[in-house]
This record gives sequence, structure tokens and C-alpha cells, in this order.
Amino acid sequence: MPPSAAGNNEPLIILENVDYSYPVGDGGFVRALSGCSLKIKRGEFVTIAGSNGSGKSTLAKHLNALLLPEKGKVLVDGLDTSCEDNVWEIRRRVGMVFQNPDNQLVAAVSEEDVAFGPENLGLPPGEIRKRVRYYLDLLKLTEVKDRPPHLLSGGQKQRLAVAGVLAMEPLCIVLDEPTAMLDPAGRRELLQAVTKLNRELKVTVILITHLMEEAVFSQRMVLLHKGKIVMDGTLREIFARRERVEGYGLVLPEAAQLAEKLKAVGFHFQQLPLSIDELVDGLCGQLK
Amino acid sequence: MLGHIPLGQFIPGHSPAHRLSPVSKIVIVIVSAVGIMLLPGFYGLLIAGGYLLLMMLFTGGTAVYAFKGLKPLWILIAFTFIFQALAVPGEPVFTLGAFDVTRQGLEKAGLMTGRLLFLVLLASLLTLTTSPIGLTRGLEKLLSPLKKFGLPVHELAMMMTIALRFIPTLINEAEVIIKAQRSRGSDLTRGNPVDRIKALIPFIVPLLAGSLRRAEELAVAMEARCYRGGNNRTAMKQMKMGRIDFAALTLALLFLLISISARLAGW
Amino acid sequence: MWAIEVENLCYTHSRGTPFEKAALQNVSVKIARGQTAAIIGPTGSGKSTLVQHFNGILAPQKGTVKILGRNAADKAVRTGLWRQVGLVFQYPEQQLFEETVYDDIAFAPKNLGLSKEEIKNRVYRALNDTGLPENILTRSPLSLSGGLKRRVAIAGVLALQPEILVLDEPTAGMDPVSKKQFLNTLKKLQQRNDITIIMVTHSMEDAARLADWVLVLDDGRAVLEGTTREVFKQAHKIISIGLDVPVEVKTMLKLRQRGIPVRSDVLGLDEAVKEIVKVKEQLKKPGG
Repeated sequence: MPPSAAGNNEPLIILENVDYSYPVGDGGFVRALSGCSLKIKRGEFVTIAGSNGSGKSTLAKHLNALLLPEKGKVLVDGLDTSCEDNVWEIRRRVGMVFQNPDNQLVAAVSEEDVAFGPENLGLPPGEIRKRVRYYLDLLKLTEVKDRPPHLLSGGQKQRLAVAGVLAMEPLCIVLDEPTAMLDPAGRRELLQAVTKLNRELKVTVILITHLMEEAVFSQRMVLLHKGKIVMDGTLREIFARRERVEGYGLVLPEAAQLAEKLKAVGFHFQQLPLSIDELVDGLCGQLK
Repeated sequence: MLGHIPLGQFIPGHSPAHRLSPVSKIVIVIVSAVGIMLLPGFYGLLIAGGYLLLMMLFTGGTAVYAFKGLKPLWILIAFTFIFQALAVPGEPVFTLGAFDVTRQGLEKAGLMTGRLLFLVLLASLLTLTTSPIGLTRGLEKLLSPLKKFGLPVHELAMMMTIALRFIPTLINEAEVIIKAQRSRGSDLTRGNPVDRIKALIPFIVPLLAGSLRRAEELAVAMEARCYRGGNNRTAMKQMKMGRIDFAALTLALLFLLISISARLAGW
Repeated sequence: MWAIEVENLCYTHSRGTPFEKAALQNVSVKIARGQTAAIIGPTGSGKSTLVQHFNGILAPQKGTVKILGRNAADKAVRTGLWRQVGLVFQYPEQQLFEETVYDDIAFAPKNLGLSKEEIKNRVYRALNDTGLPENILTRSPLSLSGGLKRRVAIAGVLALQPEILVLDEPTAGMDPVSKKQFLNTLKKLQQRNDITIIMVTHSMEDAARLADWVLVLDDGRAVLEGTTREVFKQAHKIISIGLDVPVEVKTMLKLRQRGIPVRSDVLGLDEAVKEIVKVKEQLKKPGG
């Protein structure tokens, strides 16, 4: 089990006025983040959404010191990411799953890939074996533990990546567009697994995505647009501002869109439905 | 199809040979190879053959594939035989054009061909029963004393592991790129040699760009998982030597001893 | 006239090796000229294998494939098919290789042996169709962002001005803005006379919004085919092979489960809204 952070009331991650620019070919710079401030509590499930070029991946890479802020500060469990001595301590606290499942699996055998992180941490072999067994089982991968990664389905590969990160027992897992290359079945499997981690193991989850329907499992949503945090609130608060959201290049989940259209012709919902089930519940009362 | 080259030919199994530690298997193969080379004469060949047969009994039937694997090598074996048969001077048995085939030549040829055959079989027994990743780890362990002399043993092993991991992925990618460019009318069979080489660019550039992108992403992913070289790193799979390893090593050493004695005794 | 006529097509990958795998089993399908067809099915159902027969990349092993009335069993016909049938692969951005965007889009027209003038016309038309700005033409395609790369790659196939355009999961991983733009491109093409569009997709919404005709593959077999409405009417069958149905269909099915007599063969959110309103009025009438 990941180390429990119960009792610690400090936010797990604090961003203070973070600026970051990328160098571009001709010697210039492109501003990717400007003035981002954000606090993420322990055990939260936060979705960070934004369209292409909104800076969401850049933000994600700041959370475990893969990128360092140009201005401002990032604190992870009280550790400043810009202090070089903290880097490895930060990375064992914040694990990261990337978009392309193929390019983050290192070993030629699935179970060895799960062992990769713990081996880097220098854990004793017995402990590594225990963790590998536990997390493979948790992500329903025990059956494929001896297979090379290239023979797994997309969904299985991404769950393997999650298992590999969890085996380091981090406090927080950041998933950077983890479903972009998956089919609907793989996407569902992965999101369910991640939700379970958050609810049962109390791992803090930060999901980066451009699909708002993937946010329905999270408690909080942060919207990024042109490098700035433009909205931060519960899903319902954000979905209620459809026009603003669409202005940022995002679209509401289809169920919410349908609800909006029904509202326009005289139906009303006490609160905006986020899923089809909520929509149907709300409609039944008005139809019968 | 490009995507299905059986790499390394490893056949998974649970025979004693599969259960041996890769380290002892590599040592056994080296010791046995030296033994085979040292054993003189036809009796020597006979002993080596018996020894190999004994080894094969412990592979749970996997050894059959070693014989199947010999097929593509028959040209090499035939060439060895003919070359040796013609190269050695002595009592002529019959004449082949400008060459005399001698008794000594035939004997030498038989011996060399036999040895070559046995060495190939021996090596394939190793790769048939050891996964590429096991081989990598075994080599890393065996070479680790060389770290003291500055050989980057861990890095080499990591490179091999990553190569094993990515070769199938890159083969797949190459296949897709070839199809995609053919769909845009690329043709490798047109024009003079210069044109044909130029026609490779649409395939090579994307493959290279793709590999670089992968390498970059992989490096970031490895860093994110706290990879910082071989120092302070542990391994999940410890290569512990069991009783079976000691038994097998003893057998191999015994074989080497017999070979050395036979050579010294001047068979 | 038929654009595609496939009869009893079988295809086995790595035939004659221990890795043999049946990808298509007795698939028969006809797609009329000028139609937009969607091919849907779970991962590994044979969708990509099927469409790679359409432009001669794969030769039929058993059964017949006729493209625009000509038999693809004939090697001379097959090797010339790329001239009439454009195929956009999944993640087409990985095929970019030229120094400039212009040259990359011009690659296929050059291979067609067209005049410089005609090549230029085609490049500009493809650029216009995909909504790319002209100033992109001199840039290196490899330096572009992911979204732009995808559009350049699609433009590179459109420049063939094919009679049949096949797209293998073109919207995979696109953000909502790019997706909308891409769907507009397709709609624009649809209005052009005589182009047949065949789209392999995981997105049931895309299939419902764009296609006139749908083919459902499962495990290498054609399990359903017909007009889009006919196919989505058999929602239970689609769900049973592990696929989704469009949100509006799912909503209607759930309403029916609750005893509300709505039709379930609706396409698009607006049709769903109309149907719900209609049923509400019927239920309000006394005795209705």
C-alpha cells in the first residue's frame, strides 16, 4: 500500500505563479505557462483540461521536476522542485504516465517493466517481487505478466504503465493524456482502474485530458487556456458555463449537450446531468 | 511478413535446462566449447557427441528445434567439409579436377565439420532455453567484474534490453510506413540505381524521426521513474545458483577435464 | 455503380508460419459510389486489414475484391489502385518526410507524373480543403505541432484527388477543435460530386453524424450492415460485441427501459430532442 498521508493537512502540490517558456527553432521563446497558481490536496482526483497548446502537458511535467519553473515555485509534499537535491525524492512521490504507451515501457517482459521503478529505488528483491505481484494483480495484468509489452493491447499497455508507476508507491499519479491512443474499451478500462486507485488506495490522481467526458470521475476540474488557469471548480460549476468552456476549445460531454438542448425546449433539470443515467433520471419525472 | 521474425528463437519451457541460471548456462557453453575443440580424433568426436546428447536429454524436447535450426546452415557446413578435404596434403584417395582429395584431408574435414556442427548445436541449446532478457542479465553478471576496468557493463546491458523491447515495435512501424508511402505512389522498383536509393528517403526519414521521438520520450519516462544509471540499483530477479546449477557445472568441468587429458595423452 | 465490391474475402496474417492469424473470414460488402460509409468494430476485428485491400496494399488471398468495377486479383490493376483510392493511415503524421510542407503534399501528385502547374493546383486545393494556412507551405512538416502534422498528412493524400477516400481512424487522439475542423473537411468533400468516403472509426457519434451506410465487423466477420439508421436500430447487437452506440441512442434505450415509449432509431441529438418532445405531448393527452 502507498504510504498513507492521512493527518497531513498541507496540500500535496502547490504551484505559485509559475511561468514557463519553450525555446523555438529561431532563437525565440514561446510562452507555455504564465502565472499558474494551483493547490492540490492529498487524495484529490483532479482533471486538468485544455485544448491542444493550452500548456497542460507542460504543467504536468512541472509536477515531478521534469521541467522547472522559469519564475515562481512548485512544491511537492513541501519539497521545492527547483532544488536539485530534491529531484529524486519528488519523483518517487509523483509518478507519471504518458500518452504513448509504447514509449514508456522499458523492459522486454511485462513483469520486469513493473519492477523497473522499484529497482531504480534500490529496494530489496523480495520487496520488489511483492510489489510487482500486488500491482499486476490490482490492474488485472497477472495473466500477461510473462508477455512482452508489444503483444499487449493498448489498454493493457497503459495499465502496465500505471502498475509500473504504482510499484514505486507514490503519493500522487499524474496521467498525461493517457487515453489518447486507446480505443473506447481500453479507455474505459483505464479510467475505471484509475478511479479505483483514487477511491480505494487514496492515491492522489491528476488526469490531463482534452475530453471533458473523461472528467466525470473526478471531483474537481481545472481548465487551462493559453497557458493560464482560467477555471477551477466542481464539474457542475464548470459544465454550467457551456459557452465559456466552448470558447476555450473544449466541448461538454454529449449527455450534458443533450440536456442543454432539452432545456432549450422547456425541460428543466435541478442540476445539469453529467451522465446518461442522470439525464434519464431527470427526464423520467417530467415524462411520466 | 516483416513483423514476425522469431527473434533469438527462444522456446519457453520448464525443463532443467530452462531452470538453470543464465550465468551457469553461459559458463557451461564456454567450457563445453573449449572441450569440444580440444578433444582430438574420432573417439573425441564420439565423446563430444555423447556429451551433447546427454545435455539434450535435459531440455525437455526443446533440442529438436536445434536440429531444425541447422537447415539454413548446411551450405556453410558443406563448404567447411570441402575446403578442409581439399586443403590438406597427403595420400591421394581420388582426384577432383586439379585437386587431390587425400585421406588426411577427409579425416580432417570430417573432424572439423563434426566440431562445427557440435558448436552450432551447443550454442543453439543456450538460445533455445534462455530468454534474450535472461541472456542479457547473465552476461551483465558475468561481465560485472570488468566494471573495475571502466567497461560500462550496466549501460551495455540496458541498451540490449531496450533494443529487445523496441525491435518489434520498430518493425511494426516500418511496415506501416512502407504501406503508407506505397499508398502515395512510392515505388522502389523504378528507375536507375540512383533513383532507387533516392526512393528510400520517404521510408528512412520517417522511421528515423520516429525512432528519435521514441528515444526522447523513453528517456523522459525513464527519468520520471527515477532511473539514474546502474548505481544503487537492485534487481528483482536474483540469479541464485541452485543445486542443479552446481551439478551441471560439475558435469561440464568433468567434460573439459576429459578433453584436456585426452589431448595430453596424445590420442 | 459500385465503388467497392467485396465477395467472400478471407485473409490470414503470416500465412504458413506458427504465427498464423485469421483476420478476415468470408467478408462480403458493397459500397455504392458517392456514399459515405463507416466501418466499425472492436480492435482486432479486421477493419484495417479490410480497407488495405481497397487500394491494393494487400492482395486478396481468397474471394474477390473489385474496385470501381476492376478486379484486384489482377496485379496490374492492383498496383495502379493507389491512383484512384487514397488511403489515410492511422496516425498518418508518421509518414511525413519532406523538407517542406509543400513538397510533402506534392509527393503523391509528383508520383502520379503530373505537370508542375497541376501539382501546384492540387497542393493548394488540398491545403484549402484541410483548412491549413498558406504560410505553412515553406515550413518543415517535422517541426509542426501534432494537430497540424495530422492535417498536412491528410492533405498529402487528398492531393491525389482520389475517387475513393479511405480513412483509418482519422480522429484518433484529436482534440475537440481539430476534430470539428476535420469533420468539416469531410463534409465539404462529401458535397463534391462522386467522391466515395470510407471511414474506419471507433467513434459511434462520428459514424452516426456522417455516414449514410455502416458496416460492423467483429472477429473478422461482417456482423451487421445497412443504412446508418438500420444499423443503430440494432443497438443491442452492437453493444453485445463490446461497442458503444451513440449517446442519443443510449439515452433512448434507457428511457424505454423505464417504460417511456420513445423510438430508439434516432440519429443526432436534435432528432432525439424532437422525439422526446413528441412523446411528452402524446403522454400528456388524456388516454394517450
